[in-house]
Amino acid sequence: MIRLKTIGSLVKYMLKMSIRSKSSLFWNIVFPIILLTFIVMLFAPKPAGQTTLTGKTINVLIYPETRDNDTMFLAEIYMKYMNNLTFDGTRLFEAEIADENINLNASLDMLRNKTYDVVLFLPKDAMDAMRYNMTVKAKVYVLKGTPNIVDEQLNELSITNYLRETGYYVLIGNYYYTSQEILSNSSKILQAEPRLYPIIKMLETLTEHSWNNTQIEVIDVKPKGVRSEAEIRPYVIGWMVISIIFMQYMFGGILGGSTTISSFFEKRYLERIFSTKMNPLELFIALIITWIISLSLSSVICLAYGIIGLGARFTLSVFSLETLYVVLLMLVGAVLSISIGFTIGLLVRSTEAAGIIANLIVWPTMMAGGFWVPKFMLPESVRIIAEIHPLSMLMYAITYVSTYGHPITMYIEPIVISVALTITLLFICTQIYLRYVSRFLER
Amino acid sequence: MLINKSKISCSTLFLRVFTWYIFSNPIRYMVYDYMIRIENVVKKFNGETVLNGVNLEIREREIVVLLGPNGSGKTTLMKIIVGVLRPNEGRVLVYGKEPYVSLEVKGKIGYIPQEPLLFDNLTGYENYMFYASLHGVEKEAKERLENIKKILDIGEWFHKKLVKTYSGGMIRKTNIAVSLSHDPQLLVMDEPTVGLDPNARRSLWDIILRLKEQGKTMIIATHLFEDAEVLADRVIVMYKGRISRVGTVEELKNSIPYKFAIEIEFAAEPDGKILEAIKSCCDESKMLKIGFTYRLLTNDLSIVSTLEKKLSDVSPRLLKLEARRISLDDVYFLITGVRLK
Repeated sequence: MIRLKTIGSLVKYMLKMSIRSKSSLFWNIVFPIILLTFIVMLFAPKPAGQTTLTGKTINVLIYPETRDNDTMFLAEIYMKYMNNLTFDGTRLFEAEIADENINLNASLDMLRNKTYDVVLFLPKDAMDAMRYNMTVKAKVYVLKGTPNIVDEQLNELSITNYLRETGYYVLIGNYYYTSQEILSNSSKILQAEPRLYPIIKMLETLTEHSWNNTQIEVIDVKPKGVRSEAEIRPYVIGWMVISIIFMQYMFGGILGGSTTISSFFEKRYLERIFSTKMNPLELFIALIITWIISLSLSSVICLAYGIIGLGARFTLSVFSLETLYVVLLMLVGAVLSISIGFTIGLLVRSTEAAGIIANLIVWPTMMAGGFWVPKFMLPESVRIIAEIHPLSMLMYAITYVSTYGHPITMYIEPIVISVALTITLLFICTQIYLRYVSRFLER
Repeated sequence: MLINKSKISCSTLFLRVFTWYIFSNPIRYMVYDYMIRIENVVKKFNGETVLNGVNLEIREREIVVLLGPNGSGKTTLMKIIVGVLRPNEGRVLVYGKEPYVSLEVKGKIGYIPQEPLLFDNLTGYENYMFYASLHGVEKEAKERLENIKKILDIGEWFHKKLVKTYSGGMIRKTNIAVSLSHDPQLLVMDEPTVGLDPNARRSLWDIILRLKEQGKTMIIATHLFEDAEVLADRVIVMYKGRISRVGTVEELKNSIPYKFAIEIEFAAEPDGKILEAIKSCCDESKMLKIGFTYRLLTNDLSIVSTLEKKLSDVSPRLLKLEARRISLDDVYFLITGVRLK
């Protein structure tokens, strides 16, 4: 016969012990809060009023082949104009002239180690080429063969386009000033040769529009169905809160549960406990309840901190039926993690070994199970673990229901699988416990 | 007529026997019957026999001391009595029930393990209430706490400090208090005096004797003869999983044919001459050698002066020569052939 009052008292005292244990307080309360804060600060979209994404600024090292006045003058002109170019408030280039004692090889090493995105080499005749041939002469060194092809293309196109534009402006400038000179003497030319009138007229039109012959208007169009980052931020934090709670289940339930139950046996408390009227099943129920309360307490604190401290939001209303289902699914998650932890602890029967085995299970499955990084960002070969990991199934069902607003009926299959697995594992764990408890005492 | 007379005689006899049984049984139970009956108990661990056919009966209000070295089976026997272990053969009855089967009878047993097995993050009082709650007697435990505190001389620290901050003495008192929380009739103590200094041991003896005054039956496992000499109503000598001898301290002492022990201690290994000198004085005695010490078990105290004279001639390095009454240590040695300390 199970004595509920006795189980209640046992739970009360075990919770007291847990609350007074500094390490338990740290791992159950402080650690998840630190982790949540850390993850939100690093990965959550920024709130309204803050720029979240900035355009890329290309770092350019201008390397003059010689240090003569002409080449240095040209290098400084390049640097000045490059640094003045902006796009949506972001500088396009961050240019600087290579130091006198840096040779080309050293400059290229800086390119390779990504200190710079581009090295712009100005040959010693660059100024002459511009002055006499109206030609922009330069070599552009860009890094190729990195994993980020888009970045490579952006660097190359930006700098070559800039240089082509420069060449165009040099040409237009010279053309403009020459045309101005001709037009200022146009009356004299026409007096001498009136048939040149249409040509002079064309020259006037060309000169008038030479600096401004494009009328392109850029109009921003927002993608359909995508909300601003500030809008989605609270829900992303909500997603992170659920993620942290499940990570806490893995740490507290699997790791903590396995070491606690094995230490309970190792320290031989059972000898004294079973010399009383306590029967083994009552103790087991009390341990499971204590652990569920402990994990729930940690979850509630995480949730409260997420909502109040970090501004997490969920699509569920407090008193809806779906909220109740989500709470029940959270409890299933807690029981599942405890069952896994207790099974490990019972099979291993040594605190040290239980800790090692639990760590070996927790870390890889947490990394590959879509707890740290969203499932869709995982490589396809790894994603299969997230697809079959019961805690992951539960977490994603809860996440989609409570932060994306999906109906719970969409996730019936993973929920049923997880619940069935939880019940099976709890049953197996209980059987192992009951079978081994007498053997533990005989040791 | 004869038949009729015989019938009357049978009825009368039946009536007398019935009356005697009805009225004498409670008295018989209270005075003569046994609280614990251990019947041919065998316990094996991994094929190794730890208890081998142990039979014993223990009366109410009795202090029984299980005396034996480590590995003699004392702790295993105690764990079976408190219901933590189950025997492979035989049975243990406490108040007529097997404690490893009946949870009810466990409510009458208090177990004081050698290691306190208290929860460090609870106060002594919380540990006390924790174990009371396992027995389902929290309310009653609260009521009897004052009396227990008085017996054990427990102060306010019991309520205010966590067990992890306790001194050794506080832990021992809490350990006993915890096992008294459900007011057990039987207290089973596993090596309660191990590691205690002489003062602490005396105060523990005092507590045990006070508990006896309260009507408790106690089984105490020890390998210290002093515990048995001071506390035991009966001593159970255990060796290699068997009970070698049972009796009061005096009965055990009288069970061997010597009354006195003479201890002769040398500073170094005695040579042949010394041995000859000793042997020449005590033909009738039993001689034991323990390091550089010889112990003579004898009934004749007059040999002390003869020994002194002879030894002073041959051995200038004699450290001690003293006579005393025979002790449980000597008895244990003669019974089992091994020394406990």
